[in-house]
Amino acid sequence: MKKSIKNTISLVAVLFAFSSFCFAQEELSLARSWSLSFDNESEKAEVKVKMTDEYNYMKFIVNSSFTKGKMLVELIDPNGKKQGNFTVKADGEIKKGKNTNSKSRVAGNMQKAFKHPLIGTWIIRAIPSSATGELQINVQQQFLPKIDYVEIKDSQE
Amino acid sequence: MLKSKILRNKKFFGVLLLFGLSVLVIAQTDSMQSDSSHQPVIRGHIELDSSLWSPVAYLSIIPDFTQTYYISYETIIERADIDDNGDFSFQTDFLSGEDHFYRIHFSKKDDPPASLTIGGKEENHFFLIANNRSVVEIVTEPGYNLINHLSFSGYSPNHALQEINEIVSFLDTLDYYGSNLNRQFISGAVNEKLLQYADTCIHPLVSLYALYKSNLDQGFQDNPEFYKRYLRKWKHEQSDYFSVFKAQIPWESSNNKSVLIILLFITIITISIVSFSIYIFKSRRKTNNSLYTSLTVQERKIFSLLKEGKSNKEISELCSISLSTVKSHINNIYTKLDISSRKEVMDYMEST
Repeated sequence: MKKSIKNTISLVAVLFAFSSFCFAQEELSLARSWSLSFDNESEKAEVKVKMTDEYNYMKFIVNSSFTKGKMLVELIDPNGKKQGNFTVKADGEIKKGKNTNSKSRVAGNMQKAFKHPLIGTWIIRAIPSSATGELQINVQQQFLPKIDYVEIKDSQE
Repeated sequence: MLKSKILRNKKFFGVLLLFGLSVLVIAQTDSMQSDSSHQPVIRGHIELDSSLWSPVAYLSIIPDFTQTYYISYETIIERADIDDNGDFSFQTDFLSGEDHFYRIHFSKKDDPPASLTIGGKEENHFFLIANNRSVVEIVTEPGYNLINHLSFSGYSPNHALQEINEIVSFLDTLDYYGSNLNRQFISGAVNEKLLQYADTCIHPLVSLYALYKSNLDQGFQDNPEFYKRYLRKWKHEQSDYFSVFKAQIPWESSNNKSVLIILLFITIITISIVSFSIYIFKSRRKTNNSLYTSLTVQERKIFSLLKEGKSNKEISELCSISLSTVKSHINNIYTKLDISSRKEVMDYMEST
């Protein structure tokens, strides 16, 4: 009898420890988003994201849509190295071909994920040139145990 | 006996000749057939979710490798409808005769035609090299991502391009949970492989593409000799791809800066010399003018007659004065103007 109580207590203790571990894992994720609007803008804008050793995974999602001007978007790591970039330019038209959608909207999207990203400040830099449009930035930071890693990789493939 | 042997040999050579001719005719027919199938074209196959994606493929030109991820309507040079089987094709006879870097992209129904997605499962583009004679065939494999795996056939530089993409994607697909040191080691090895590819590749655009996929900024600092050697190797390449690359290299742009500084210096010196000459010329003219104003009315009249080349006798008659007076005036003029001959009078400033 005593033994079975002991076993039950041990099992509950193990379950409790495991559940607290799971909850702790879930808490270690942070998602933030920024929305930037540009109205004939030419002034540089920056979003800075601090990466700490609490997390081991980081994902940037940048979506943009512009109807006028030019916009250069760069992702810079804490060492100052460019990890991604794109440029959209509106006010143009398709040179050749049918059904040209002249002087229309242009869209640029970028998604970058990093396992074990560099610790420090990451910068998303927007350099507009008489640009009118929207820029959406989403950043996810997570601590992923190895099993989650495998799941993420499998789902992407 | 001998005669029949010769006859048999003749027959044998005849059959051999006939066989050779047949082979030649068949080969010629084959080559003609393959020529007709070698119409320049970019042909592709993709499986799109028709509820999400527009059935259109867009072809854009990438003028240099710094604009790989640049999108605008100006860069889109052609569009092609994707049929129900997922096939599309671009006629390429209007492309440049030189190899250029191109991008094919697809747009979602909600997005504008000029839309570019980099990374993630909805990455909507891929790159290729073509000219107005090349035949390029592309097949994309369906899967979790829109473009899972590309396979090229036809124009051979695209195979090399794909190899480079596979080297680069090795970093993304690598499943490791190691330390930073491990990752640095692997990314260093990938970088080394890309440099090796760039160094040994005989196609200039593919070679440069490999270089751009490597850690370029770090490479300029760590291994400048490699890039100097690389530039020497491709010194005859005049395309924009190489011009822009040269402009990106720190020491090349500093060389250009030095040339600009020297040119600026020469310009400043030239302007200074010209300005100084003008100043001297003007001040001399001013001095001459002031000297000229020191002459009396009669002396000025005689001076102008001297400039006209009149003799002393003619001046004497024209001014109704004696020859000795003329001589005396001329002596005064010489003294006041600091000259000593009639020639100098003739050369004296026009303004006088």
